[in-house]
Amino acid sequence: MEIFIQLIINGCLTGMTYALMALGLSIIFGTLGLINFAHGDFIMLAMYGGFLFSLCSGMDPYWGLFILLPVAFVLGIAFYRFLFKKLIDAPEESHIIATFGLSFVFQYGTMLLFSAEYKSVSTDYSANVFHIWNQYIDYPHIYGALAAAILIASLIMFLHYTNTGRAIRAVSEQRRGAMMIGINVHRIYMIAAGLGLCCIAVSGVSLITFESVHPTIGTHLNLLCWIIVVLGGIGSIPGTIVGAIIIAIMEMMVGYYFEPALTTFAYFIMFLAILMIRPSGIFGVKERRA
Amino acid sequence: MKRAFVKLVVITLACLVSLPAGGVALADTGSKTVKIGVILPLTGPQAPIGREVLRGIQVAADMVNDMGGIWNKTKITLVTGDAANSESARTETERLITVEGVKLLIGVYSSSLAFIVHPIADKYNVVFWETNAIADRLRQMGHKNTYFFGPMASGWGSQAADCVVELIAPKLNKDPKDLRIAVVYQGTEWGKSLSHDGFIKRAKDLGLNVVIDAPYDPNTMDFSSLVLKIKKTNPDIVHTQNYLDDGYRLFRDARKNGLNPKVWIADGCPWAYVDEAFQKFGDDMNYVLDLNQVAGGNIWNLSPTTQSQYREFLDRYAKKYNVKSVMASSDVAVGFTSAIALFEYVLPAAGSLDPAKIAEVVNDLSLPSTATARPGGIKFAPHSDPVQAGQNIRAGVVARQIFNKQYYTVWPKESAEIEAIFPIPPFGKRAFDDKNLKMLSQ
Repeated sequence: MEIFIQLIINGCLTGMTYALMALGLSIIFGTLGLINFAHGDFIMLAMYGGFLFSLCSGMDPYWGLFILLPVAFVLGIAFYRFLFKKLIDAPEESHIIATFGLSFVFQYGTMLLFSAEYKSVSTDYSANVFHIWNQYIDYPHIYGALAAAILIASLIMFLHYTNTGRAIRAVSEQRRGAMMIGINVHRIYMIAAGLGLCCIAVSGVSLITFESVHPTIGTHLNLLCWIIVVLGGIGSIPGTIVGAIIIAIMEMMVGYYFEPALTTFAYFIMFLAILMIRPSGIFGVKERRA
Repeated sequence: MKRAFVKLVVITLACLVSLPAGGVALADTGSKTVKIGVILPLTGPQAPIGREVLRGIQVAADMVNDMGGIWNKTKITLVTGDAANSESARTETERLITVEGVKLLIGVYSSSLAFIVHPIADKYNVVFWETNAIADRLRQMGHKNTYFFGPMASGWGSQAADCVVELIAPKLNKDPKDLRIAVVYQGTEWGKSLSHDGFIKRAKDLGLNVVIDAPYDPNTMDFSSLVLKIKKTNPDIVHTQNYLDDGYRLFRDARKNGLNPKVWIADGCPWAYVDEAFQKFGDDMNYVLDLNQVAGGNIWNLSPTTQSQYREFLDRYAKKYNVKSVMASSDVAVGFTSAIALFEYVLPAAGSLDPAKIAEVVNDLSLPSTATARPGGIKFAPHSDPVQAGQNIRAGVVARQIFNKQYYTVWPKESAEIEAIFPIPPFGKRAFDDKNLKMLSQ
């Protein structure tokens, strides 16, 4: 029973980290309808941002959010103005090819800047473990889960209790209808892109406290994030959280009770099974855009 | 929209083309040069390894060229190809052979990539000098032009089991058969060859008690469930085999979940990059036992010529690449030792890159362990051997214990620099004072 509880705790904490990684994708895909295959590479860039901040300042990467969040928001706006805006109404194949290209540029660019070496950050709490009732919980994952919880709560408040947030929801649900009632759709898209990149900044900073970063780490993260977002239901924040926790707990259970070599295989099977029953994902709705 | 898309594609291609990865001649070309192709993962997840191996090969070529080159002052020019993944390994190998016109290739380090590039070299009748790629099955593919300088995976794993009996059990004051051993490895061809077909098979022959045989998915982001599974078996020894990402994650999650065996044996890459590993785990990296094909700091058992050559390599490497610690990576030594053996013992005697002449020289080659900084010596099995065709049958491994970013050879006995220290303290209590090292006399 103790082991089972430990697996659930580990699954929930890892799931929150996964949710944090996938939130940015969920917002950008859910609102802009942009198929972003460079999402994992954006996370990789945010990890390098956290690493650089820590290297230069000697401070904990989380403090770097005071710089990285405004930078990410501005970058989100810039990416929207110069790239995403031109892609939104293009065929979906263009989204895929363009963002794949962007992914290569990010990977090779960081390789030129940082070399291919693995970079990591060691914090005061990197090795600290919270030990209670025979359960081991490490601080970097606790802080990661806290960051995810704060971000999710802030996002939900923003989306439900501010005019801009309500406008984002309206645009993601019915773009034409939102335009008809006078919402400036492109302004909303721009804010959503900025918000998406802010979520990515938080996830990158959180990840660098317990993961090494290298130029190609985004490739695997990208696949994982897409599975989570599609499983949970595109554009749904609760769906992203539930999808992420399901994937993480599934990994833990398969790894412990069955075969550690089959963890990825198992969650792909589950992913396919859920999509056969609910093609729009756990929290997804059938038709969203007009 | 169309224009924007075309612009993006052009920018992307321009960035890719401007990268220094593929097809760059690395050495100055004189009037008489011979091109040698180097195919390694220079971008992608294995790039840190590939780039280090390339540096070693480059230093070997520089040393030979500065001594006047080979074959009557012919200088070696290295032409590189990037085996970032399966597809680029295939296309870059084809490019090196058909476009660059190389007649001899050196690389490719990774077993999974070797399965792709070795057949291509064979198809064009080009010699492939393999620096590493230890998966056993590669030696059984019938390639007539491939030579494996490093050890075979099963032999490597088998030696690791011998190390348990000869070094670890006496240090723990236990009968080897009473030790509980957990074996954890990548569920890949490389992992299965070394850990399953090598270590576990030999452990069974020796009557050792393997309590868990755990191959894993290297893409796993969190190894907590595997660590808990191992912890439940209460092992005395954990034998792990990993690449960089998965190795770091496994060690991190072992620390997180309080897995504290008496001995942590590590095969694979993370342990070859001590600077990065210490940056990540600090003192918790101390006491790890790393099995590797390159010795620690001791080279006293080499011949005087090989000793001075190896010292020159370390010196040149540190200067050329501005490396503070020459102990930073073992892969650079893998590259150097493989290449210098080829440039020094094989090519001058062959007189050309003709595969038949090279085969003749390689088949006659027999050098003792004092002739190379890789343990064991050099003697190749003929290509008619069904199990180890083209294999350097003298290639072996040594066990090195890590203390404060330094490797110290502890096994086999004849190469040992220090007395190994076991059992290792639990995580969090592994700070180590170098004064406690018991150096052995040379």
